[in-house]
Amino acid sequence: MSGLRLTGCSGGRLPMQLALMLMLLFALARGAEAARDISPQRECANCHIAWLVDFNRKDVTPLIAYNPRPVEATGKQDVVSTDRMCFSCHDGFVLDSRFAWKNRQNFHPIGVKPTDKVKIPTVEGKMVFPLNEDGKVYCGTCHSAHGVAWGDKQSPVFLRMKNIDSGMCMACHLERGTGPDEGNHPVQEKLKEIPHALTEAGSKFGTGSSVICQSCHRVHGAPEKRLLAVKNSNSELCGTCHADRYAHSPAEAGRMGTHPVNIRPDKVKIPQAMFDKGAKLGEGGTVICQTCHEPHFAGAGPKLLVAPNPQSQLCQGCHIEQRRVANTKHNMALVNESDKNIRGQEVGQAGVCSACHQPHGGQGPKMWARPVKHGDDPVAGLCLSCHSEGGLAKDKQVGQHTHPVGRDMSRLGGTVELPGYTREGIKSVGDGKGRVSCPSCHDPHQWDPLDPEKTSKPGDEGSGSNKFLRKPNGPEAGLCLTCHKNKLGVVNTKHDLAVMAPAERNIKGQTPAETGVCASCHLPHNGKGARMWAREPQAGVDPVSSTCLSCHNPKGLAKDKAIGANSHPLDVPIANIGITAKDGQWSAPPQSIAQPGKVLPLYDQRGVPVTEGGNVVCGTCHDPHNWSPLAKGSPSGDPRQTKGTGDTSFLRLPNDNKGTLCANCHVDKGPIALSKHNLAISAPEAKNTKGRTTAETGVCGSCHLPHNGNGAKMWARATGPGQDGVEVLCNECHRDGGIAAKKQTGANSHPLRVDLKNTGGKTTLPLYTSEGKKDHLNGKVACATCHNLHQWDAANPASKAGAKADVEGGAADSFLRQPAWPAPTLCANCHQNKQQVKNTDHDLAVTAPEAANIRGQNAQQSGVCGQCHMVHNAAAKERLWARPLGEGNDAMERLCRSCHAAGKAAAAKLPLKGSHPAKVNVISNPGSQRESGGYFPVFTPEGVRSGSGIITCPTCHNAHQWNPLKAEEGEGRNVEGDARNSFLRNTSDFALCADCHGLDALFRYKYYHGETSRKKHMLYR
Amino acid sequence: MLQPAVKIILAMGAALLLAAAPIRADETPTEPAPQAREQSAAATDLVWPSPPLQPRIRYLGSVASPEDIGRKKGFWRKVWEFIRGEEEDEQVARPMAVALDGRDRLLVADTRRGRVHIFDRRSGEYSHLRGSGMQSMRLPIGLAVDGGDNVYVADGELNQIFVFRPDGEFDRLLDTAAWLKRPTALAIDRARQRLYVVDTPAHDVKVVDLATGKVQSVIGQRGEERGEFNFPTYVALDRQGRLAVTDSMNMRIQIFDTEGKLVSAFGKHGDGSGDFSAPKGVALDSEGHVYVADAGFDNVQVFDERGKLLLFWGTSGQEAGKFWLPAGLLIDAQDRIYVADSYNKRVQIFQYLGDGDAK
Repeated sequence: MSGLRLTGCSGGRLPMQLALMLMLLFALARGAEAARDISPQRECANCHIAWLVDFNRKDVTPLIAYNPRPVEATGKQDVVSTDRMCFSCHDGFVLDSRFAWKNRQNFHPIGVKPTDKVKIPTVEGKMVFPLNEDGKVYCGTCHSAHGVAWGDKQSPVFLRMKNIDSGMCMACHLERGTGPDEGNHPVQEKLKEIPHALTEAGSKFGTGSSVICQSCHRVHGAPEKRLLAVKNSNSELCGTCHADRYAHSPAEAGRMGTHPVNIRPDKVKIPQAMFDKGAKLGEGGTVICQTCHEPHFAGAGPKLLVAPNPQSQLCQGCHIEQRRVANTKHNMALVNESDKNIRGQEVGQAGVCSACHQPHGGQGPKMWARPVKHGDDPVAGLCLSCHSEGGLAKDKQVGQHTHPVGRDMSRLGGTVELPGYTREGIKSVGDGKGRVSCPSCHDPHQWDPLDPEKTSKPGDEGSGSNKFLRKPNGPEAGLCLTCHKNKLGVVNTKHDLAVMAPAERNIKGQTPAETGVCASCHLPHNGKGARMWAREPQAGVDPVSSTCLSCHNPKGLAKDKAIGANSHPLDVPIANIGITAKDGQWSAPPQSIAQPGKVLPLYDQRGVPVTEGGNVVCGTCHDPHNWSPLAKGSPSGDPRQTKGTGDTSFLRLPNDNKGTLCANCHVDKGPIALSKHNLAISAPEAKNTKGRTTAETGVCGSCHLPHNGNGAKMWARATGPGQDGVEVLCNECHRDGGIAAKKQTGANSHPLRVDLKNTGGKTTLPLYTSEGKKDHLNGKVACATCHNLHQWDAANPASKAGAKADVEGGAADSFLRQPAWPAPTLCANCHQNKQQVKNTDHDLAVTAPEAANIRGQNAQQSGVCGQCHMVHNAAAKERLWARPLGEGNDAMERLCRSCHAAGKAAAAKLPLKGSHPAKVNVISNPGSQRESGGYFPVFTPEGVRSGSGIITCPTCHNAHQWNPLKAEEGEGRNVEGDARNSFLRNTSDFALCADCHGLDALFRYKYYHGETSRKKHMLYR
Repeated sequence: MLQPAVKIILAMGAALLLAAAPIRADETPTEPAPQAREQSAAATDLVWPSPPLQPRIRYLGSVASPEDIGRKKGFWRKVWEFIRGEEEDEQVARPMAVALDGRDRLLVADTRRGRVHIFDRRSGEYSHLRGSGMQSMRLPIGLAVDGGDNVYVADGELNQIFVFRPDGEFDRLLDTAAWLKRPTALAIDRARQRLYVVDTPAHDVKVVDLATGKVQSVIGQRGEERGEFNFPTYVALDRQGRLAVTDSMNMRIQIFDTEGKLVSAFGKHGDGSGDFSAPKGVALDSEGHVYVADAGFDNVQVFDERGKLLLFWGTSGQEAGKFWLPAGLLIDAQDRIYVADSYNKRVQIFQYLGDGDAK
C-alpha cells in the first residue's frame, strides 16, 4: 500500500470515497495479476483463439490468419478486443450487450486525451486505468476481460475494478464526486424515493438508494448528451428528483413556492457574466435549473450556484429592477436585521432578497420566505405577513376597512394599466386578467414611483407620491382614477368636497385640497367604515348607507339633504318586493305585468356588492359619483347652485314622470297605473306636497316621495283624519272634500285596528302598526289589510276595468287584496269559520239569485258574504247588515227576518213561532265548549253576544254552516233540512234542545215549530 | 439415410482451399429457380465448389428490403413513407433468424428494428409483425411457424414468446413466466405438435406441447459432457424430427432424437476448416447434411451427421456469397438455404444442388 499514489485525490476531503477507492484498487491489483497468465484453456481461448494448442494446424484449411504478436503486460487490450470478438457472443444469443451500443454518440469518450480534470490513479507508477499508445482513452482504459470476477453481480463484468457506488467512476473523476462544498452535486446521499422515470431510463443507485454517478449518467448508450440518462436540456433530469422545485409553468411555480423554470426571461435580463460562469438557458431560451446551478464545478458553494449569492447578489444580477429595494424600508435588514426568515436566516445575513424570497421552499406565491397570512388573496397574504398585528410592520397595517383585494380586475371593464395577479402570483397588466392585490397599487421594491433612486428608511412617513406606489396619488388622485375611471364624474358635483366644503377634513385631518377628491371620502387603508370611509360613518344603518348618512343626516355636512324619518327603506332584501337578482339578471313573478328594468347594485350585510339576492341601500338607487344618469361625466356650473331633479340627484335611473326609477324594481306596484288610484286618471289636477301634479311626478310621485315623506309609506300628500298610520293616508282622499269623497266607508264599516291576537284569529293578510308600518307580528287590521292600493283586480293585474274615475267596484276587484267572488277568499282569510256558507241555502246565489243587497248588488257583485254583510256603508251596525232589516224582538231576529219573512227571499222558511220567549234570560259562557259545539250564544237585545242574554235565532243556529258536524260548503242547491243540519249549532236529535230543556225538549220544539204536532199532542188538546 | 452425403465428399486439400473462392459457373441451372426475381438480382452465377469440381451450392440472391421482392412503390407511397419515416424500418438491419410460412413467405427476425419482416415473394408485398397492442417487441431473436401458419417469436429482451395469427394480428403471449429465463431460438415439430425453446442462460432446451403450452420435457443442462450444454443458441429440425442444437460455448453441434436422446455430437474449437470458432445457426437439408454458420470464420460449413466436414463456403466480406457475422440458418423443402447475414443486413439465399453427377 505504501507504493500507492493517488494523483486524483486532493487529500482528506472525502474519507469515505477515498477508503472505498483504495479498497477497490487493492483488490484490483491482486486480481489483475492472477488473470494475466496465458492459458490455452477453453475460457481464454474463446477469445484468444490463437492460444489454442492445435491452432494453425496444417492438415486443414486455416480459416483465421495467424499473426502472432508479443504478449506484453502493458495492461492494454488490443489483441482480441474487436467488434467481431465481442459480438460473436454478445449478439443477443449468448448475451445481450446491445444497450452499450444503442446510442454510440453518447458513450464515455474514447480516442481523446484526458483533460486536466481527470486524474487517473496510479499504482507503482503505472496507471490503474491505462491509456492507449497515443495517450488516449480507449475501451481498455476501463475494461479488461481480466478485471473483476464474472460472477460478481455487484459490478459489471470486464471492468478493471468493481464500480460499486460508482467508485470506479470517481477513481478518475474524483473532482466531480467531491460533494456540494466543492461545487459538485451530492453523491452517496440517500434518496427518500427513487424516481421511477430514472430507473426506467437505466439509472442506477448505490447502497441504500444513494445517489451515485450512474444515477444521472450512463457510461454507454446514454440517450442524451453528457452521458445523461434523461434529457436535461430543459432540466428534465434535475426535475425527476427535484420535482418539488421543477415547475412547468409560472403558475405551478407559484403554487410550489419555488423559482419558476421553463419560462423565458423576458422580464429580467440575465447578465453575460452569469453565462461566462456557466449559466445556461433551456430550449427556446428559457430559464432552467442550470441557469443558476451547475451540477459539477459550480462556482459557488454548497448550493451549486454558478456564482456566489452573498447578500442576494446572484438574485440581483437578473432582477435589476428589484435591486432598489435595498435602499428602502422594505430592506428588512434596515427594519430589524436579526429578524429571521422561514429558514431561520437572519435577514441581515440572508441578503436583501432572501429576507423575503426563497428560491426554493417558499411559503406561497413569489417564493415567499416569511409566514403568509391567509385571507382574501394569496398575494396580499404575503404583504400581510409583515403588515399585520405582530408583524415587522405592525404600525403600518391596512385596517379592517381597506381597499378590497382578491376581486377580479375584469370587474373594472376595459384595460387597466395597473397589474392584476393570479392566486399563484402571476402578474398580468392591461388584459383585465388577474385579481386586485396589494401590488396592483404598490411596487414593493421601489419607494417613489417617479424617482427609482429615491431612498427611504424605517420611520420615514410617506406621502401620496411615494409609499411604494406604482403611480403618485396626490390631489389629482391619479392612482385611484387609473382603475376607477367611472368615478371621475364626481368632480365638480355636490359630492366634490373640494368645491362644496373645502375646509372639511377627513378622519386623517386632511382637507380635500390636500388629499384630492377621492380621499375626502375614501382612504385606501384604515377607513372608518365600509367603502374605506374616510369620514365618521352614521351608526345604526347598514354599512353602505352609513357612509352616505354620515353627511346626509340632520347634523351632517349635507343636513339640508337629510332623508327624513319617512324615507325609502334601507337594508331590506330586494326579495321583499317579489323580485330577485342573480348574475346581472332579474327574476320576477310570472304573473307580473311589468318586468324589472336594469339590475341595480345590491349589497350584503357587510356592505359588499353581491350578484345574487342582496339588500337595498342608498347605493342601490344612487351613484354618488355621477350627478346625472342621463349625462355621464362632471357637470358644468357651480354645484353649490345646482338644484337636483329627478334626472340628476346622483340617481342611477331618472325618477321621471314615467316612474322609471320606481318601476324599475316595484313591478308589483305597476298595475296602479291602470286604476283610478292613478291620480292622472282620477284627479289630474291634484298636487303632492311638493306642489307637483301626477303629470309632473309620474304615478308613484303623486303619493310617495323617496325621502322626507309626510308620513308612513314615504307619503307625498297631506294626511287625512284617522287613527292609524295607514288610515290617515287613505283618508286624505277618502274624506269629505277629498279627491275620493264619494268613496268613504260610512258609519257602519269594518272595524280597523283589530288585534287578531285578541280575537284568536289569524290571517295571511298584512297587518300594520299604528305608525303605518307593515308588521305581521304586532300589526293590526288597517285599510291596507284588505286593500291593495296598487291593483284594481286581485286576480288580474293587467285589468284596466278600474281605470275610470267613476267606476264602481265589486267583490272581485275594488283594490281588494284577494277576490271575494266567486269564493269568499278575502273574507275567509280572517273569518275562516264563516266560509262554509258558500253553496248553502244562505248563499243567495243558490237560493235567491235575484235578490239584491241594499246597494242593489246581486250575489255576483257583492260576493257571497256581501249579500248579508256590507264592509263599508252597511245598513246596520249589527253585523254590518247589508239587507233591509225585518221585524223582530231583538236585533238578531231582525237580521234573520230580513229574509225569513213573508214576501222576502226566505218566505218559505218561516217558523210559526219564530222567537224564543223573550222573558227567558239565560247565562251562557263559551268556556271550553265553544269549540266542541256545546256552546249556545245568547245576545243582548241589541244583538251583541253576551254572557247572559236572550235566546234568539243565532243561539241555536249558525247561519254560516249547514251541518254542525261537517265544516264544509253546501251542495249548491236548496235542500230541505232536518234536525241534523238546518244551520243548527248542534244536531237536534237529542242534544240541542235537551241541553236546556231536558228530555221533553222535543215536545217543546214541536210546540214551537209545528202546529199539527202541537194539535195532536194530548197535552194541548 | 445420410450415406448419400458421403458421395459428395470432395477431395481434401486443394479442393477445399479453392472452395473458399467461388467462381462464375458457366452453365445456367437446369431446374427452374423458384425465386426468379432474386435470381435476377444476382449479377453473377456463383457456385461452390468451384469448377472443375461439381457444384453443390449455388447463390440465388439476397433479400434486404421490400424492393428485393419486387415491390414497386408509387409516388404517393413514397411521399407517405417519407412523412412517416417508415421506409428505413422496412430495411433489414440486423437479421438474426429466418423462417418460412405455409405461403412461402419469408419471415426475418430483426433485432435492431424490433420487428419481424415478412416478405411475400409471390405477391411482392411487404408486411411486418411489431408486437402486441400493449408492447412492442424489443429483441425478436427466434422464429418458428406452426402448421396453422401461426408465427412464434422469441423476444430475448422481454423474455417473452409472442404468437401471431396467420393474418399478422397479435394473438397471445405464451405463459412462460414459470419456466423461461431468456428465449433464443425456436423450432416447431409440426408432426408432434412440439415447440422447442432454447433457454440460453438456463443452458437447456425446453420441449413445449403446442396444444397445452406446458413444458413436456427439458433437454440438457449446463456442462461439457455429451448431452449437456454451455450456452445453447440455435436449433434446427430435420425431416424426421431430430433436433440439432448449437452448443455454442462447448463449440459443438449436438443432435437429439425425438425422445431427446443424444444421437450425435461433433465439433471442437479451432481455426481450421471443420473446427468451430463461433458456431451460430444450424440447419439440415433433405439429405440430412448439417449446415453450421460460423461467425468467427464468416462461412457456412456442411457436415455429415457424424461431423465429417463435406464442404464450406463463404469468407468475410460484403459481396454476394460472403458473410459478416452470419447468424440464423434455414433450409426449406426445396433445399434452399437461407442465411441471416447479420452485419451485412441481408438474408442470402443459396440452393443445395443435390447429390449426383448431373451437374
